[in-house]
Amino acid sequence: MTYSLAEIQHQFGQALRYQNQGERCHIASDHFSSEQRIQIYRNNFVISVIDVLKATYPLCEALVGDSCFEQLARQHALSFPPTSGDITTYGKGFEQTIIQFPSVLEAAPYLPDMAKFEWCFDATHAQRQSTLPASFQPLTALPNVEESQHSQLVFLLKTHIVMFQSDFALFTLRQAIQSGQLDGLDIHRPESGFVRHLEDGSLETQIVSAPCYALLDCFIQHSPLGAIAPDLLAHLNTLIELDVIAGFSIHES
Amino acid sequence: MNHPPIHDKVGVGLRTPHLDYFSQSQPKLTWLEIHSENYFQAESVSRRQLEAIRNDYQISCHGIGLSLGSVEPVNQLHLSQLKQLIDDIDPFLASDHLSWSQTGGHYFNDLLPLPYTEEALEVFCRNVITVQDYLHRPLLIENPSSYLKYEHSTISEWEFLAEVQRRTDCRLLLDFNNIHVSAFNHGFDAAHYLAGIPADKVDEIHLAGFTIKQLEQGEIWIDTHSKPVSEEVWQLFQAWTLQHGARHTLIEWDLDIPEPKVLIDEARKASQILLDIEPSARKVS
Repeated sequence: MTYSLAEIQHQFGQALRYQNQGERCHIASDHFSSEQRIQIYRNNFVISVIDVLKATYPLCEALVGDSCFEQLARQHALSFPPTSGDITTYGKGFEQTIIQFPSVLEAAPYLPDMAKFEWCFDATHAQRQSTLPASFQPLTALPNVEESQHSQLVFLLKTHIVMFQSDFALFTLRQAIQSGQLDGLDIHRPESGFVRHLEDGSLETQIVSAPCYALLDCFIQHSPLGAIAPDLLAHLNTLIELDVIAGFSIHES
Repeated sequence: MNHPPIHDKVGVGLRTPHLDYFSQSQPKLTWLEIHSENYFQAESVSRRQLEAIRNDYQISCHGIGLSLGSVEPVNQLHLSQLKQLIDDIDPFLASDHLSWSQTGGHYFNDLLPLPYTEEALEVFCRNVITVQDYLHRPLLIENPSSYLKYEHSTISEWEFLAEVQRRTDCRLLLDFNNIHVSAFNHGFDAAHYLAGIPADKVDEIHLAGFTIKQLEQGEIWIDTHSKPVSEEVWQLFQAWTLQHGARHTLIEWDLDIPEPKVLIDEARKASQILLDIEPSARKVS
C-alpha cells in the first residue's frame, strides 16, 4: 500500500506535537514500536526548541529554575512550533504561554513581563536593520533650522532602541540577577526605560523617568515638537544626553 | 608540543561558543563550516564575528532549514536569506540534507526522514533544482541518520541519494557517522551503502560522534554530535579515502561542545589519515 507524501508529513507533524500516534505515520515496526521510534524525533524537536528558548530567555530561566522553565518551554514548543528554519528568531509570545500556568503566575507574577523584556533584547537587533528616512538631518544641523520651524521639528530615535515599561522593577531585577545581589529588591515598583545594543554588540538597559518615557513615545510616534506638551519637552536635554536621538526632520504641515 | 600542519582539506564546525576563540587565536586550519541559519540576521553580533573570521578562513555554509524533502515548495524567504548570506560570505561549499523539517506552516528543527518512494524523489529533486537555480550554484546533499523506516519505501536510502544526484546534478556530502548509525539502527552494511554512492560526486565528508540509547527492547543509536568520532567511523573514513582519495573533511560537534583543543585534536586525526594516504602529494596549510 502507498501513502502520499503530503499525508505522511501531515501525520508526522501531528505526531511530533503529540496530536496523534506513531502508528498513523506508516512507520515500519520491529522490536521497537512505531511509537517508540517517533518518540526519538519528538524528543529531538522539543529539546532543540527548549534550547532555543533558554538562549532567548535566560533571565526567565534563572527566575523559575531549570525544571520549571523546561515545562513552560515544552508547552510553548508544542503549542507554538517555529514557523521558519531561521530558528534564531523563534520565541515571540512566550509570555502568552507563561500566563497559562497559574501556579507560576502566583509565585512569579512578573514573569510574563520579564519574558516580554527579554524579547526586546532580540528585537533591538531586528530594528538595527531599519533605516532612517531620506529627510533625516543630524543633530549638528539643528542650529541651521529657522526658529519659525521649531514647532515642526520631528526628532528621530536611533534605530536600535526599544522602549519597555512594566508594573514591576524589571530593569533593576535584571541587574540584580546579573550581579547576584537580589537582597532588598522591591519588585512591585513600576519601571520604564529602553533597551539598546551598543556598537560592540553588548546590551544596555536604561531606566528613565515617566515624563522622559512619554517624550520618547512622542518621538516614536513622529510627533512634531509643536504637538508635544511643554512639560515633556523640558526633558529633551536628558534624552540628548542619553544619546538616543539620531537627528531630526522637518514636519511638512 | 609541535604538531605537523593540519591537512588543508580538514576543517571543523564553527559553533557559537568558539566564535571568540577563532576570532582571537586563529588556529591553523584553512576552512570552517557554519550552520547557515545561525547567521541569517545581518546585524547580529555573531554575523559580524563571522565576517571578521571570514578574513582568515574559507567558509562552508551547511544548512539545516531548507526542508528539501517537504511536499510544500521551498520557503522563499528562507531561500532569499540564504542567498544573501552566500553573497556576503562567499562560501566555497553550500549544503543541506536529504530530509524534511516543515509541514503545515510548522518547522520542526530536526532532520526528519523521508519515505524512499518515487513521489518523494520527484519532490526532493524539484526542490533541489529550485534552490540550485536560485543560488546559481550546485548544492551538496548530505545523507541523514535515521531512527525509523516507512512501510512503503520502495528503494534504499543510497539508491535514493544516488538518483537525486543523477537527476539534479547536485554534489554529495557523505556523513560517515550517519551511515554508521543508520546501518546499526536499520541493519544494513555500511560498506554496501558506500558502494552505492558515486564517489566522484562526493565533495565533502562529515565525521562526528554518536550516543547509544538503551531501551527495554534493545539499543538505538542517536546521532548526537556530542562525542569524539568512533573508531569504526575512523575506519570507514580511512578505507573510503584510501580507495577514492581525499575530500574536504569536517569534524562536527554540536552538543556538549568541548574546548577548541579537543576539536582541533580530532581534526589532527583526520589530517593524519589524509596525509598517510597521499604521501607523494601532501598538501598542507
